[in-house]
Amino acid sequence: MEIEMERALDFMTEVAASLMSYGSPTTRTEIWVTKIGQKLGFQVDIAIIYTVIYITIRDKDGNFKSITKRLFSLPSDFEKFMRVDTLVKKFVDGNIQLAEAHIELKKIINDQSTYSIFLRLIAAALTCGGFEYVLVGGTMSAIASMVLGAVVYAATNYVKLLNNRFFQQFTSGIMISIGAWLLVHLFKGSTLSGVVSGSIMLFVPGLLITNGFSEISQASVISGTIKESEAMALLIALVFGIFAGTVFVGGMNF
Amino acid sequence: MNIIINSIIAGVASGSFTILYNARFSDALIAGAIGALGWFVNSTLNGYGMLTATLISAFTIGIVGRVISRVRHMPSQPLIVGGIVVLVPGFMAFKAMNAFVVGKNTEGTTLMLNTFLTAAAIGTGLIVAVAITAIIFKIRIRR
Repeated sequence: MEIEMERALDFMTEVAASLMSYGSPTTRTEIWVTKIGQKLGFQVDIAIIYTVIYITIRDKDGNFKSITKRLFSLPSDFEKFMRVDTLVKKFVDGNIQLAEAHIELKKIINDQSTYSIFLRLIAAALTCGGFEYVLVGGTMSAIASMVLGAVVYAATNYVKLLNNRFFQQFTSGIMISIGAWLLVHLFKGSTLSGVVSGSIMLFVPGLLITNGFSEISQASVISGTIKESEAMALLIALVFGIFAGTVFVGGMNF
Repeated sequence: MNIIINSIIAGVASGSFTILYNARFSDALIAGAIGALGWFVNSTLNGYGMLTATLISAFTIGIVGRVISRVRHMPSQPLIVGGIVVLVPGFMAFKAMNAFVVGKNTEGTTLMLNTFLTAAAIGTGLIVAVAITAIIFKIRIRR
């Protein structure tokens, strides 16, 4: 029984950790993990507070086992999220056994398949250019934003000097302000504020702010509040980075 | 005409953003279409105030995202995140923080308040959409 509990808890923890890492909302993850536990005949208590997962399972005799898992990075991956989600659904519906599901889960976690760097850079460029065009306006600024956005995206995602998000945001800010100053001279008709506005869109944690609010209103108050705080800290790092860059290139007026 | 062009561009930006999160290409296309729809609704209703427009467009995105995900047997998160990204007040948040840094505190406070209210409108629109679709799906299952 002890071993069974351990295997169940191990699987549940890995499911929770992977779902959270790949971009699942907190509430959905808690529901899925509870369903897995119930399927295996346990009573489940789960609390996910952003990067920390607490799970306790209890059997019919009152024996219980708890685990605390700390997550260190949450790089959203929707493809893996959907695969894990489908796997959990299969398990809860009884179409797959625990051991088999665990092996399948490990396969998904270790799978490295992703889009090529070239395609990602095009996506980054289209995102920046598109946002600049609809939010600020100006074709030349949008084109300059596409170039700068792709370059800064490549620099922050593929040349990781330090694995620290705040440092990444700060350096992105510096690169954006200096790059924008250079590109304004190359792309005649573009504006400094326009280029900066488009290029920052990949780094502004707007989604974190919105998700944080959604979680607060869905009773995950602590998790939502932490997301809001993180978003503010990331935003501050980005803004200070941009201001540090302007030290080199002169004043910037938005 | 301008609204339609902007909506298409917003759709391209939404779809591309979803690719950065490693969504499947077919899902990115749908997220892009949802993003375009969201921007179209938002621009059309802008005369009723920014918050009303954001609330209704987030609600629309939520409903469409949930229905499509239901039809495709997939979680709605990738579609809704992709669709909602054009409404997210990231640029406003940046401008607010920028105003604080240069000492324009009144402007910064106003912008920051608008940022949170916009985020709240998006969150509320999505939650209402999720709740309504959950009720509808439940009724259909019972039948």
